[in-house]
Amino acid sequence: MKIGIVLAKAPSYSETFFNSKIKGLIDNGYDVTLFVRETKQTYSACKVVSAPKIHRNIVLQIFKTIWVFFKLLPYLKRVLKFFKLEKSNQRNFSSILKNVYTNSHIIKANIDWLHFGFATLALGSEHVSKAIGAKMAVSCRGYDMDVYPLKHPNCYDLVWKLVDKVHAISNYMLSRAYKIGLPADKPKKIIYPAINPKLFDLNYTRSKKDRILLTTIARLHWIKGIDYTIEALGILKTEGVDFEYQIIGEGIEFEALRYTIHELDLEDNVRFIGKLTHKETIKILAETDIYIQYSISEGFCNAVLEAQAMQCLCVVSDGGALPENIINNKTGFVVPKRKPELLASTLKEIMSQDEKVLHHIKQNAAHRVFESFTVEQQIKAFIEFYE
Amino acid sequence: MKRPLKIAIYSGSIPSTTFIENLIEGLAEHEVSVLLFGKKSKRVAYNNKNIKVYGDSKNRGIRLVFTLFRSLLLLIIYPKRFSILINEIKSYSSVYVRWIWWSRYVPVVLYIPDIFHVQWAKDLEHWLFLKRKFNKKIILSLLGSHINYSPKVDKQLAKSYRENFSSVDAFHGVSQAIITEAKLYNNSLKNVKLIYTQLKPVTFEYFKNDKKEKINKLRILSVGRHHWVKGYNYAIEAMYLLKMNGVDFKYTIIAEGELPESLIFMVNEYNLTSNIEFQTGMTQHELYKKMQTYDTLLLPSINEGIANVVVEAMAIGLLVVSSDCGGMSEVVIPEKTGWLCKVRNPESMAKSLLEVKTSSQQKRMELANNAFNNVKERFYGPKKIEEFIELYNSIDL
Repeated sequence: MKIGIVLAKAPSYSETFFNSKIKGLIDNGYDVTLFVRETKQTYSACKVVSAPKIHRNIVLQIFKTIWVFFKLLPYLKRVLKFFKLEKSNQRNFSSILKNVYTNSHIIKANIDWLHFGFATLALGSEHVSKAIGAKMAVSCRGYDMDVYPLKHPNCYDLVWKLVDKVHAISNYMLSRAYKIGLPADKPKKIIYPAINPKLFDLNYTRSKKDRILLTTIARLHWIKGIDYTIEALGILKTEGVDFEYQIIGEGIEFEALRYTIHELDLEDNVRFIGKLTHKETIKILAETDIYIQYSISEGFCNAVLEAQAMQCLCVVSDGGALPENIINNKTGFVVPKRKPELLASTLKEIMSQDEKVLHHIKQNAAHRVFESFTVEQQIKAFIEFYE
Repeated sequence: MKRPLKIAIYSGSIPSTTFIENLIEGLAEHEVSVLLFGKKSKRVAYNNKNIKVYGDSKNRGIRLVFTLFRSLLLLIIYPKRFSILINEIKSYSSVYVRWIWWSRYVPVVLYIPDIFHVQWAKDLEHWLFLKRKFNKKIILSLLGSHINYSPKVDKQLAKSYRENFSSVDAFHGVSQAIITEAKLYNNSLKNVKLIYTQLKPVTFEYFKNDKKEKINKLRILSVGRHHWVKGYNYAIEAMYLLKMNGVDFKYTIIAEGELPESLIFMVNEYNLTSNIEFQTGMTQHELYKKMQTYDTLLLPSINEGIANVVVEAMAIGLLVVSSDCGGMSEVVIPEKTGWLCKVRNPESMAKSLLEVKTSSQQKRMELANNAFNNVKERFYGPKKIEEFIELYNSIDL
């Protein structure tokens, strides 16, 4: 079976979800091609086909368009079908031409499934799979379900109409898709993100530290709720709790967060570590006592899976799919979101709890992750999805 | 006859913010020769011969021609200044950066002012050479983010303030709070003058105090750009609390810039789409007219010098609920001129808003009157300009 996966760019080394999926499918005899928008890439796990570049220079763009359309001549039948489908959907001529150009790399492909890794990537490409005689799949994850439709109401109407099967990374993501128009009768499957157990060295011992070590892995973005986390830590500090909190990641909220840290007198307690490799991140998790993911919303959150695998005690918000990731009081703690005072009291309570109880929770969490969220299971689920 | 003072008001862009533009026009009306340098972001035409614009075009080609022409003039008329500037520019590393700064420096050195008044503290280190090499005087305005939070976030900037504040001849602070804040970088700031925002006399003509007998639906307004420091997320949380308490209200945010996704998400999450609306900027007249249709102005900011919009609201008779940040308590006095609530505290904000709603008509009118009298006394434009001139005259040239 030939599967085409559409992504904005080839996955980087740390994007375990796509890497393990692609590798797993190839190992199971599937022919996988990656269709990306970014022209520069050095991905070696499978064949990668890039979309034609859009040039700023109008003259260059005209020549490029002529060349791209010329190369589509052997696929004239597909192009005409695409054109007809677009026309039937009341798209104007210039939009159709633009869509032919941006989808030209996929129109030439011979595949059985065209799987859009993100729903937003299907916008403007809704008719491609029908035009080339492939089935269409769409993955529902994070931003595309949570935020984008709020800014662009009804943006996925055509996607929902034409998609053959929907993949969601959590129950929450599927519920969001229903809320924004996915018909209840569309075939769907929830396939959770997964970890590769081989990457987790469990033969480590946490070194003894003077201060309790708290960690969050997240880009510095409002949806990650780091501001609320810092406010909670400010409360902890005023109550005399000593700790060190480190944030792995970078992003546009740095200035605002940095100022909050100053204002709450947390300069000696909070550190921004920046971006790290996967290996370095695992090393930090190995030293972490409590992992915090107090997000406003999460599609599922791989970092929390990895923290559980490394036997960190996880405290998460009830935002998005996090309550599917952590079972409250069994594999970690779930705190209502946007409530820094509640997060602070939960953390304080945990710090005063019996180590045996906490150890039991950490073991439950690791056991559940290695039992139910492995790449082997993920691959199996994807094979079932396509078959 | 004494030559009129030549003062450069430097903000880096022409035209500048309303506050700085009011200062420029006010000074020119008082026969001060005002020189403007910086990048022209749009066409400007000042109707006063005392204002001289030596701006840079946004267009690179035009800028190149102007810079070459000005460089030639400088070389011919003031060869010594030219040679000093050549040496000064060597402190910049790359050729490109040297060129950028050369194009900014040449008009200033060519038409050199007596006093170079830097509006934004981050620019200060680039202009101190005017004092070192040309013995000109430097004044720094202590305004907004450049003092309130940027040096807290950027340690390098804080270091440059510690090193350079002692070279400044005089400071202007927009609030007592911001002056205190600036003293963190130089405890003995010399020649500091507190001059509040100047409001044009015409603003006070919008004053209206016909408060409703009873507020059934509370109409709340916030005005300001979309930026984290404005604290709109806390305001939306406060609105959620109002809704949970069954309060009927409408909240409008008028702000420039792209509407942040975080706010859209919150409004949807809290099911507040019928209570909260977002609007973009408008002309000052339209804004004042619009402000008059609301019951209260909410300033949910995390930090401010003194927010101009609060002073304007008071001048036109709109009641103010403000977070107790920066210099806000210098103008918002509880039980006298408005309501102060805790910073980053939606509960406190909602409580104050509820108090506005439940206050008697008499109390609301009394507070609006007090606020009006207070700002007319302390923010009346012409008086403020005189204070600036006093500040300039206080420096030995």
